[in-house]
Order: sequence, then C-alpha cells, then structure tokens
Amino acid sequence: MSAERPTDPTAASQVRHLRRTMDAVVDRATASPDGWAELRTRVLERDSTPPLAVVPSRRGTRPLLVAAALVVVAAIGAALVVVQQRRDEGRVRTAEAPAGSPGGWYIPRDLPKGWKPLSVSGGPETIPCPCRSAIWREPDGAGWVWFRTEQQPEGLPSNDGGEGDDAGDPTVNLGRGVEARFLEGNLADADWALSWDDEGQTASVKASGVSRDDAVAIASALVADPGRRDLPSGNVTLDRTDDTSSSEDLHEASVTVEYRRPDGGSITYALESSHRFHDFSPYEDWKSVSLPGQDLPVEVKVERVYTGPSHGYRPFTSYRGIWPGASVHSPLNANIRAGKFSPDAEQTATLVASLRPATLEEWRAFVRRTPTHEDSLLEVPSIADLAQPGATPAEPSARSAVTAAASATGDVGSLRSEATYDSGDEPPTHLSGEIDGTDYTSTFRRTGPDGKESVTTVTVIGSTRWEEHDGKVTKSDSPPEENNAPFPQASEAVVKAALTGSDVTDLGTETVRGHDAQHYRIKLTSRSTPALQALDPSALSRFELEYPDGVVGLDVWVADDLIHRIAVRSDWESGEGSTIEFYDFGADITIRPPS
Amino acid sequence: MEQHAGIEDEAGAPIRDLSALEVLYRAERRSAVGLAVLLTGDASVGEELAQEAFVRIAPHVATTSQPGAYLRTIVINLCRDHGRRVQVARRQPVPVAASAPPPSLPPDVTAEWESLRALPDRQRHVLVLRYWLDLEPAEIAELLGIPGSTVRSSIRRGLASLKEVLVDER
Repeated sequence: MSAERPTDPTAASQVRHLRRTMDAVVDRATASPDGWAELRTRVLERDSTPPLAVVPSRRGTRPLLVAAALVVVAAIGAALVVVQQRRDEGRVRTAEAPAGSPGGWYIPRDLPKGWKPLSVSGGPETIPCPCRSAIWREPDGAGWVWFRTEQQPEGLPSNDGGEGDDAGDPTVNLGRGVEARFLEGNLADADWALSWDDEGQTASVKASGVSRDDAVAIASALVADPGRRDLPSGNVTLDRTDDTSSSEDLHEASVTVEYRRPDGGSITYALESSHRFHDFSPYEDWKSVSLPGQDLPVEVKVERVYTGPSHGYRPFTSYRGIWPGASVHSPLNANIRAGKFSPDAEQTATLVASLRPATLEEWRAFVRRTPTHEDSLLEVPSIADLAQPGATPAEPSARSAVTAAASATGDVGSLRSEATYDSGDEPPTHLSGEIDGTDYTSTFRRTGPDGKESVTTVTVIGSTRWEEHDGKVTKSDSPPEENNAPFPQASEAVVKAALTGSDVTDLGTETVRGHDAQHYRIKLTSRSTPALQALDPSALSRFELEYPDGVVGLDVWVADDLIHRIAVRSDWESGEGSTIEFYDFGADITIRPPS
Repeated sequence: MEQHAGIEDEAGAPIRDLSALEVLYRAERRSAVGLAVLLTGDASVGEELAQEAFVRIAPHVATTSQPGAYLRTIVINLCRDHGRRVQVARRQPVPVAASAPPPSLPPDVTAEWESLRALPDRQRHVLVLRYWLDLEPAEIAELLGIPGSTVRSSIRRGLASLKEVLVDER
C-alpha cells in the first residue's frame, strides 16, 4: 500500500459495489431459519451469572490499559478461592499495613516445579491531564453516577477544524456557554449519558438508577465546579476511594512479567505504579478474596466471556492487589482453547498467591536471570521512579534527544521531503514533496514491470486537489478524509508512539544531506506496537506503518534537534521499508496549483 | 411458579412478557445479525453475538424508547469486544480455537467479502457503519469513541484497500 494514492474518481461506484457486497453477505447470513425459539429459551434460562463487564471506550494511546481491559477470564478454582462478598464491593481498597517492598517490586517465591520466568519489560506512561474520574453511589442501592474528564487527544490536528456536524442533534445548555448532548443508547448499563467539550477537555457523566430528570442539574453543577464532591440531585454520595483527579499530567509506569507454566503456556502479571486513572469504573466488579499463603489483600473479578460458537460464554477470572508501592494485576491476557481459558483461574491464583515483596537487590537479581529483560528496569530504585519522565531509560540522553527532536519537528510549518517506499516485492515508489502547513505537493515516481516510469503529482491546497498524470490534470474537491496528515505532525506522532516502552540506542554520528546527524535506533516492543496501531491511519500511512506488527523498529537521524531522516525497518538487515528524509525546514514554501 | 420466574433484569424486576422482545426480534433480526456478521467477518460468531444482544436487551425492551438503536449499540459493543479478545488471543503463542470456517458465498461475492474480512478491524467497522448502516462520520465517531478525523481517514484507507476488488460499475 502506498503512502498516498491519487483520488479515485470511481469512488462512488465502488461504494455501490461495496453496498451490494454487504447486502449479499447479509442475505446469505440471514437466510437460515430464524432463532426466535432458541432466543426465547435462552432468555428464559438465563442464569444469574454476572454479565460481561462493559469496557468503556477510551481515546488516546494507553496500551496497558487496553491490555488490562482485555483481561479475560477464569472460573473460580473453588479450593483456592473463597469469595467474600462485601458491601463495598467494587471499590478500590489500599493495603493498610505497609509491609515489605518500598520499591513496589514483587516477585514469585516458591512456585511449584516447572514455572520459569520468561521476560520482564515495562516503562513509563503519561496520561495527559487535568483530568478527573469520580463515582457517586447510592448508599444501599445499585445506583451510581460516573463523571469523567480528560484532555482531548493531542497529536494530529483535525483536518476540518472540528469533529463536526452535531448541529442536528438535540443539545442542552449547561451554563457558561457549554452545550451538551445526550448519548442515545450508547452505554448498555447506564440509563443516560451526557457528553460535552469544555476548554480543551472532553467530559461525560453517565448514570444508572438516577432519574434522567436530574441529568441536566447534575451536569450543570459539574460544569460550574468539576471538582465538587457532592451532587445536587440523586440519592448518591461520593466515596473517597472512587475519586481520582489530577491538575497535571499523570505519570505512571508498569512492568510486565511473563512466566512459562508447567503445561507450556505462558502467564503474565503486571506491576503498576499507581491504581490507574481509568480503572475507576462502576462497571468493575471486584470482590475481596483469600488466596492461601498470600497475606496481602487480593481482589477477584469474574466475567463471562464469549469463547466462540461451540462453547458460548465461560467465566474468566482475574486478580488484582493494591499493594504497598505498586498494584498487581493478573493475568494481563488469556488464550481461548476449546472453550477454556489459558491460563485458567487456578494457575493465575497460584501465581498471585506466590508473589512476595522484593528488596531492590532481589528484584535486580530476578530481572538479570530472566532470559528477556530491559536493562532500564535495573536502573531505578522503585516503580514510582520508573514513572517519572526521563528518569528511566537505559540511555536517557538518547531517548530525550529523540523525544525533543520529535516535538520540535512537529512544530515545523514548512519543509521539503524525499521518501522511498520499498516493500521488497515490487519496484520502490519514490516521493518528493513540499509542505506548507496543510497544503502540500507530492510527486510519486514508480517504475512499472514494463520498465516505464510512471509519474503522478498530487497537489492539495485547502480543500482542492489536483492530480497530474501523463500531462493530464484532474481537479477535484478534497474532503479532509482524502488527505494525508502533514509530515511534521505525522512524524512527531509516529516517533513518540514508537518510543512508548521501547529501548533507544545511540548508533553514532552519520551524515544526512550534509548535516552531522546522530543515528538512533528504536526497537519496538509489546507496548509500542499497540501505541502505533492506535494512531490515526492518515499519519501511519505516511510511513507505510498501517500494520506495525510487521515492523521491528525505527531508525531516526537527528541533527540540530530536528528529525532529518526516519527509516522504518521490517528487519534490521535488509534495506526494505520506508525511508523519509526532511530538509529545508522552515523554508519559504508556497504551494501553487499546477500550471 | 411461572416458567419465567427467577429471571430478573439488572434492577431485579422479573421479565413478565416476551411479546415485546419477539416484536423487536422479528423487526430487527436481519439488521442485527447482518451488522454483527459484517462487523466480525464471521457468520457463526455474528449470529451468536446478535442473539446475545437480544438476550441483553430483553430486560429493557419494554421500557426503552428506541429499542432498535439500543440493540444496534449492544451489537456494536459486543462485536468490538469480540474483536479485541481475538486480538489478544492472537498475541499468545498457543494456537487459538479455530473460529467457524468462512461462510460459503456466491462466487461473485467471495473476493469482495474476503477482502472486506481481511481489513483491519477499525477500517472494516467504519466502512460497515458508514455504507451498510448509512451512519454519518460524526455518528460513527460517537459510537466508536474515536475522533471524527480518524473515522474519515479509516474510510479513505479502507476504500483504498478494497480498490482492487471493487470495480467501477459505471
């Protein structure tokens, strides 16, 4: 897939074709006899197992949160697990007796034979704030109100200057000129939800068991004072443990430890520097549990998870502990085989029950003897230190240099670029381009199988697009969805996502277009790949990074605190991949229509 | 004891009458199953998730003003959750339970359907919501909880990926 293709004038007819295709699929899929009888039986026989927890949609790049949200499964290993129902189930409880690990390091002790550590990885993560998450509950009922604010996503500017056409939807005035919209049916377990934007923040309030008549009063009160602790309506009260907020960016860190189990499968647990902001949710259903041999407090959550048509829903169990210095969560993910989860509840309970606080030296020894580990995890005394920006990486100077260069490059208004997209299985495509803000011109050169060179020039000015091929110029409207993200901002987003949890190595000085440039290598990890996947495709496509699973890392050349070259590596040996060079930063460039 | 005694919705009220659910089922089955099949790319999984959506809406169907819209949202959420779990399973070294084989389809549809199935989840979801449900990009952004610009670029990327199989029919 090329970084940019000329607009297809046949798009409308292709859409018709697509609609026909989808209709045919649906006709076929619904041709069989209907399932009313089966549905009726299912509804009547529905057992009282708790429903699947709703995973609230999240914006932004929070790979570990996503992993945690994905936590699937487990039947209660009855011999190991004694669920103690508490009235305050679902709340976050902090261990009261600070025992053991000031560094927040926990490692398994005395696991049965056959358990072996495989890998330790992790690093810092920043949640942009100010932000708040607060939950009010009815004292003796099921009702709740959930209020969340977060920074609107950073990164690529919206091409059309806004999210746009909500004008036809009913809005309500919450005061201070803030307009909110009711979300219809968007939250399976909430009775109503209101959402609004205010001063760069996205806010929402959702409720269950609280009258919709109270919605506007509640939301207006929160607009007037987002930090308030009481609500004007509804019989709900705020519990201290259900309120988390920050006026500045939240710096968190997580470390994932992977073990091999005696049966050959793997299992993970995560140490997190704090109870994570977005884990506050009325949908979560954690209950205290006793695990034999584990003196620290542990909570369990059992969800019903769909395991496929043959086996339907099965219980999946996960555990967490809010422990001194860190919280622990396991398993981070699970595999489904023949309707069973791997690891199963008993295996996870065994692992969590074995975790003990470790001194710094014990932790370092554990990391060193783990076959795959990140050296940066040996360099900080505590997981809290790991959360501090810039404090952790193996080469802090390398990481900070690349981060700073990415930020500075994102601020560049104009530049020229040369790129080569080489997939290895067809002749490479070469691009040369100029960018001035969101206007740009790009010339693509490609040699076809017949040896003839094909040249196409795309020029975009505002919302008009010209495409020049074989001397013929086509002019068209260029809706924002047709356009690529500007190179400077796309570069910043891609490099910063790649840095998430990755190791950065300084490979020395090289010359790029006459500049002495420092060559850095970013090796992608299990945390950076999902961070890339979460980016806007219009940024990823600039680097042919739509499928980051097939990429091992990025090489970045930095000179004068700006990125001069980015090479996307599908492996470290071959030259395949995309290479993009930038020059003439800030030059006086004006994009003109083709003559 | 009535045969449905003991079935309770989340507020604890027993379900007294399934007629409203049946009306909804008859009216919405095609769109619910169709949407789930298109979103998941799997006929068996789609049918099962659509059934589950009806099970979940059952306690609310008599009291919801727009059960069709509510049902649609449940279907979308279930399909997205399913996609996430499939991804998690794929990251594991152990083989995943095989999902149902691709549904057999008329020969003239297979190539297009296979290409649609092969798209990244987000692109397929956005194309289905845009061109099968005819939702506006802003509505899709709301439903999926992603920026409108991402919806639009996903449409663009998805259509570009399908270019080879979607021929110009003018």
